[in-house]
Amino acid sequence: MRIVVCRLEDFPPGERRIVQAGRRSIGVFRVGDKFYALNNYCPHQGGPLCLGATQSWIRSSTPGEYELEDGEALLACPWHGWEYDLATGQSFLGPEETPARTYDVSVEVLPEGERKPAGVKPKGGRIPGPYVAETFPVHVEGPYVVVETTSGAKRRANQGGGE
Amino acid sequence: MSITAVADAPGRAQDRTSYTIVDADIHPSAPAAEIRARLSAQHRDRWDMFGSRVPGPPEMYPRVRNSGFRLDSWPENGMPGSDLGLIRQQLLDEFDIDHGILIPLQSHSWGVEEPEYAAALCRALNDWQQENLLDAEPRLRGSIAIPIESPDLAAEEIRRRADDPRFVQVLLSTGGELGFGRRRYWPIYAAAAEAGLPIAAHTGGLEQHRGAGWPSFYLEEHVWNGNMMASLVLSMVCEGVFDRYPDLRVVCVEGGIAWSAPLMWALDDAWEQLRTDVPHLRKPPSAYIRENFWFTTQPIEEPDNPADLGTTLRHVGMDERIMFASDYPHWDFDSPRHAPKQFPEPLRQGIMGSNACKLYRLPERPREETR
Ligand code: FES
Repeated sequence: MRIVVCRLEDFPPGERRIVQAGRRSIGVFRVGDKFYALNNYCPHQGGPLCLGATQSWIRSSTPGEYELEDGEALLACPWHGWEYDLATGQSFLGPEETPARTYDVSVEVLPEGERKPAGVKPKGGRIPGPYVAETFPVHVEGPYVVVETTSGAKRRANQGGGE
Repeated sequence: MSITAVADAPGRAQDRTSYTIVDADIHPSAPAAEIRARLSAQHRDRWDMFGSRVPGPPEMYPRVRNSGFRLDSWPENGMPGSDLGLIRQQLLDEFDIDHGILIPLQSHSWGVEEPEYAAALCRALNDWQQENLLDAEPRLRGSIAIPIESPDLAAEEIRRRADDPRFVQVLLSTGGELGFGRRRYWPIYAAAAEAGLPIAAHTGGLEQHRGAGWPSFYLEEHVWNGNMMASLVLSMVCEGVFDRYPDLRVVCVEGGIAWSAPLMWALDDAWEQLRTDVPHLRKPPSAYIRENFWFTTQPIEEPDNPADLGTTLRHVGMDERIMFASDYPHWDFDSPRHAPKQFPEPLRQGIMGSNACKLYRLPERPREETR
């Protein structure tokens, strides 16, 4: 399933969005121009992982000296602070535990007004939803009303609709 | 990274279980203004002049980040645990909890001041619990906060609340000026026993770290909890509290559990030879622990091999006396959805709720109901 998060210009760097897809909650993060998406469910005890703080990797050459890497690369769960790599969902505590689930995020440019499902335009102010119910052509043959249930290919050749 | 950009609450679907869930350790936090509003003019002046108590040594040591709270538990205004809406959303509704026991920790640092002032602070805290939480939310039950170092005033506060069935226990800390078995504290136990209320000893208080010196690390302090609890148990048993008040029930909250088995072995073994030292004890020390004490789960010891926890609980042998606690909204919160997996199947239902229902006389969820 593909979920549209929001328009690119409404999602500045350093912010996050949490989207709901059925029962699933997914956190989408923008770090600079990179996007990451993780399941909003911490494998440790089920905390809302994507409400946590993000942080960068730290490097230290000697005690008292440390360097922060550029960019936020880790996400710390708000409950017990387990840290997960934003890109892979790998945690760095509990090595036996499964990583948090991650998802692919892409930025797509669509011609103005065009929405999924492909090519269907907004109609009367309504935006097309993700589902398309199957329809059948109906026509009148002499005194009879006939519904056509022939195969998709043949049906598409048909102009459809009642006459 | 901004955290205000959250577009939607996580809104996960609720899991319902067939068994009752009782959370024996929820920490509410009364906003300062709410306490102030409930003080008399004289005490209010003192409050305005000094605020809450000046932090003693324990508060000066390195503490856990984010004040020890879950990052998502901060309401828009105020401290975690101050907003009933959030307590409902994140805890009671989210995990379908039947009963939640409130443990307001503010009284652990309010109780050693000038006695009348300490009593006024505790009374204000109890009024706040009642008016803002118990009146509004039938799933919640309160603990009576008392000025611990003034047991006569503490007993007064217990008697004041004893007729309100929504207050289900008396709150004691594990850190006091004396060992908690000492007679100075007995008026508290007398009032609790008379009211039929258990005492809940929660870790913390005047001296949070027993033994020589102060901890350098929060880790050090945090893991010491069980030892503080053990010294409270030892003191109460050996001083004869339960010989004087045989019906007194004590709940050890947030002090771990696993230490109690070796403590019982050691006590009984030494008692065999030293019983003339404690002639007032009517039975082996472990018998008092098994009859008068209850334990809560958070933070329960977690061995590398989870099966070892089952073995440990078997050694502790207090199946009916262990109660689930989440410690919401603290950072080491245990999720009621994940915790049951830790416990051996035959103990699960009791630990998650029915043991607490028996102790606090709370109704259990009807069994046949498929929820
Ligand atoms: S639930 Fe996320 S760290 Fe524990």
